[in-house]
Amino acid sequence: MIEMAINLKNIHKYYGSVHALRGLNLEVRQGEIFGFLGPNGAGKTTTIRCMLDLIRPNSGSIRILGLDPQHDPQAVKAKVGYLPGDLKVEGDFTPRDFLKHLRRIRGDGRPWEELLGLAERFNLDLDKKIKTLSQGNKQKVGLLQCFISEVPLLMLDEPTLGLDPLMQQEVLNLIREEREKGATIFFSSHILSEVQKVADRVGIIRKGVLVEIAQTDDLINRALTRVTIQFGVTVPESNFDRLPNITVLRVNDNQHSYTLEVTGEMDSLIKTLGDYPVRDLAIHRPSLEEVFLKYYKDEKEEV
Amino acid sequence: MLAIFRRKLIKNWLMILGWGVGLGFLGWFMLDIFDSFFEQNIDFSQYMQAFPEDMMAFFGGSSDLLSPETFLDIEFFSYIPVILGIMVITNASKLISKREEEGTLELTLAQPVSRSAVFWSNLLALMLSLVLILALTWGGFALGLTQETNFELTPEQVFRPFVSLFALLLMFLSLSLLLSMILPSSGAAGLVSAFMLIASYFITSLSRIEESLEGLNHFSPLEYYQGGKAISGLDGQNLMILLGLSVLFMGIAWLFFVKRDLRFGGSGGLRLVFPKKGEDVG
Repeated sequence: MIEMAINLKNIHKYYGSVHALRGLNLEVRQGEIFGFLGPNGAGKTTTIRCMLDLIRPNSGSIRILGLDPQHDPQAVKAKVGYLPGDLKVEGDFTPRDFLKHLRRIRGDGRPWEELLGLAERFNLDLDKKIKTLSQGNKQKVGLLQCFISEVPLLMLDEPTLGLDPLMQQEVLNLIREEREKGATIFFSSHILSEVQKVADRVGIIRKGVLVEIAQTDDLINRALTRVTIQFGVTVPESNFDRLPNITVLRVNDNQHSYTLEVTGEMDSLIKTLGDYPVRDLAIHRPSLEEVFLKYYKDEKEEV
Repeated sequence: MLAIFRRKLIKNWLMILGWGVGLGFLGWFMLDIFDSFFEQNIDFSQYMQAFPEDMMAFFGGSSDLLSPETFLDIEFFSYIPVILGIMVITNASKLISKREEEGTLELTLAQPVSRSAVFWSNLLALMLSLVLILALTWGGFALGLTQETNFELTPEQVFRPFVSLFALLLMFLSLSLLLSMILPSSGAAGLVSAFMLIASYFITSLSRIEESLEGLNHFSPLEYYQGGKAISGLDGQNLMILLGLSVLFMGIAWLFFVKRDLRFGGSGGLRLVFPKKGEDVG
């Protein structure tokens, strides 16, 4: 049995009367890149902070690499590189001093030259005061400090926040490289296209509950697919009405053109299409963003 | 732990130097002032008797300004607890809470370091800063005493009131730190602590002229501060009361910090740490 990198069971967290996490269950496998999605206030950051013992859940159990952060917080934190979503660093440090300071606190670390190499890769000046740096460069400092030690688990809250597209790409590459080395990466992001690019699996949290967890591709494939067909002849709508998993969205051009929504397999549709001359066929698979928005839309509808 | 301690101490160096050297000069200068009073042979007793009796009592009761002990008590050790007290309170209330409010503590606590280590290394660095400020101040007096002066005290004698002053300041430091763990913000903790310091100053001073305040004065920390009177001998009991309270407040503050959630601006944490009545906490 593979030991989970992250294992959360029935986590509840209250902020006064606000019930932020409502029985959250989550498993992240070792060596995977896991995208953690959710709208603002859904509980993403609260979950991460609970995992690092910065805040304590009211109930439930947390295991990080088999360790309980409430009983052995230092051992957990020694194995985790963490980037806060709202990164704040004392401004009178230079990035160089800051990294050295954290290396002293951690008591171990990668060779200094490796960190310098990463700084160069990020195009970061290590000798300017942090308070004078732009938001993007501060973010680079935050990212760099995650790599001070070679850790088996990276928790990155919005890792590409404030970075230009080139740097965003560099960060995604770095995430992939760390996975290749065997690390587990747990990250949250609002940029769903980048989650789609790198994440093996995604979890969607809504109102403190995990509403979906799946392989990224599965989640997209499982979602509704839109098919537009242009026929060479008139095709009666009743042909599609009787098919399972098919909803007719639009009929155009005097029943020569159809837009259908397909849930799941397309076998019955393809067999039906075989009876008619098809001029054109377009299949539109939703992006992760559309899948995510569906959950978000559902939430609004519930409200 | 050492890295955090070192960092805090380095951050405090300007404060240590500014306050320590400044007050050291003041101490050195005090001896000059005393000498000039002494050499002019002013009859202070007649001069002081012109003041109302109550006013004299408020400032310590003695009119013999040509006695080094009284001179130091009135001219230095009577007001310095308030000045240094405000400095200490400001620093202690910000020590942990301000970093929580700013969000810079999150990254420190995400490192493999215990909350206790963060708490105690910051606190010890602040305590050492205070010791260095007082040492530099005393150094100013001690330096002055190496010169020819009418101030017939030894550096060891002048050292004693500094011990009493340290105990008092440590008490306010730990009180302010404790309040910063309980109250909604570092600013509120600083304000309440400063109010308590000023109130203590007035209660202790006024209790000398107003008997009805004597009961209340037992709860005033300044009652246990000896000031210049410690030159003739430290009162061990008073010292133990102040140090005991300091240890107690530090211990409670530490427990609060270790047991509670880290506070984040905007997450509902910047409020009283006690649950409100009837609040659903799961």
